[in-house]
Amino acid sequence: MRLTLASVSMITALLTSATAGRAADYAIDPTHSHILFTIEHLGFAKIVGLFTDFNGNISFDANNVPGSKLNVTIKTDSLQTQFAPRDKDLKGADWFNVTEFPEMSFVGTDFVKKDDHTGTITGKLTLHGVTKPVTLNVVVNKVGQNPLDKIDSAGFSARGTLKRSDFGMKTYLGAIGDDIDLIIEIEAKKKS
Amino acid sequence: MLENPIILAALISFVLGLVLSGLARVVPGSTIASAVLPIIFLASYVLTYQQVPDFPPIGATNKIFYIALAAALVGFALDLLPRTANYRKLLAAIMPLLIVGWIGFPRFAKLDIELTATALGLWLGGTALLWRLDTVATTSAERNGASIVGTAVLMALMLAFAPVALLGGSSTSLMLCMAAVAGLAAVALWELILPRGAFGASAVFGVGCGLLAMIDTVTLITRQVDLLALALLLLIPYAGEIGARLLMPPKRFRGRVRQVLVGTLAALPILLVIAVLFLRHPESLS
Repeated sequence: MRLTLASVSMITALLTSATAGRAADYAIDPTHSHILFTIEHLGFAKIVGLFTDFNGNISFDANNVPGSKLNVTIKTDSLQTQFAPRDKDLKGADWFNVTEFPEMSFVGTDFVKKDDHTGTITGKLTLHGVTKPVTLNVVVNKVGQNPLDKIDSAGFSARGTLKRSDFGMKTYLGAIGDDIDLIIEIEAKKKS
Repeated sequence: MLENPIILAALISFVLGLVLSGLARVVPGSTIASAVLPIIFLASYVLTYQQVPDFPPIGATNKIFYIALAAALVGFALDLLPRTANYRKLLAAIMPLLIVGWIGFPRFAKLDIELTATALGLWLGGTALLWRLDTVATTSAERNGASIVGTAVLMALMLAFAPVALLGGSSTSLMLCMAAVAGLAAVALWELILPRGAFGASAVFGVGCGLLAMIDTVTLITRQVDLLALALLLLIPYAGEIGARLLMPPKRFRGRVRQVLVGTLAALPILLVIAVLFLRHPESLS
């Protein structure tokens, strides 16, 4: 009997350990997530734009960050800059070309943990039909149960910069900045 | 003023037109002089988009460059060959169809009545434009002044399309048009001073197909174009000749003066295009 109890206890411990080491899968909650960008306009100010339609999945384990996974898909037609004529221009063939490239995507490939709350994600960004690596600096804000809906959630803030010319988007370079700063705030809910 | 990229591109294109068109006059015949026009268009593209796009091109705006280049090469070959009139007319019908097909390809998976009608209109309209430009280039009555009249018609077409493109959500098309117009103006200037008949098939197809590719891109890909204003562009290749016949006694105005007047009258529909845009989009132009 003692042997049996010991066996059960050992198996339970092993299972618990295995569960703790397994990454949790999350789906991005679009109602509490934001993907914004800023771009310099004639050197005077930075125009802010955002995408309102996107989705994605995250697989994250705080104890095994390099094993994480991330993929995000953004509908380019959801672009907004608070000025309709500019939105029309930006969605056109000269810029995001939403007819030919209705989606842009980011797939994380390299996850590096700096400390308990920060790290970097390098991934492949596909924009305008061109795929290039982009690195994001990430802060893990909180991982835990959402007190309102009782669903396990994770929150991240990410910042990064890319050059639009790398993706063949060279319209009005010089007048309009080449560097695009990314501001990403993500809240993701654990999949049941 | 030179901080404005449109003005800077137009200035560079004008200087390029002066230099290339001047150098082309060292070479006998009109074939090289005619090829300067599509070179100006391609240079205007590079000035506007700041790149020679990769091949194969990704996206409609990159296709514009290769459409203009391929059409210019075909035109250049036609200029070197004898008796090509039938081939030119055939190509004037086929090339617009190929351009509509290649530019509009991403949308043709979901073909509906509106898209079919638009694509058909672009094909037939493009054919009418190229057909008329080729007639200007080859008809004996026009031959001596083809370079001035033809170049003026191309300039008028681009000047008319520029505001249509701007309202259609393509400010770069406006920039490309303005740069090309400035370069073509330099060619027209040379033709006035030292005529060389620089309006062969390379000019008709190179610049004409480049313009059609821009029109198809704004219409089929950006999808914001005012189709009525766009349709009025069809008046431009005919306005000069019809206007000249109605307004000017043939015996009173001849030679260079008549050519300049025909070329100037070709620009009249631009006013109509702008008026239509003002009436239909007052909020955008106020």
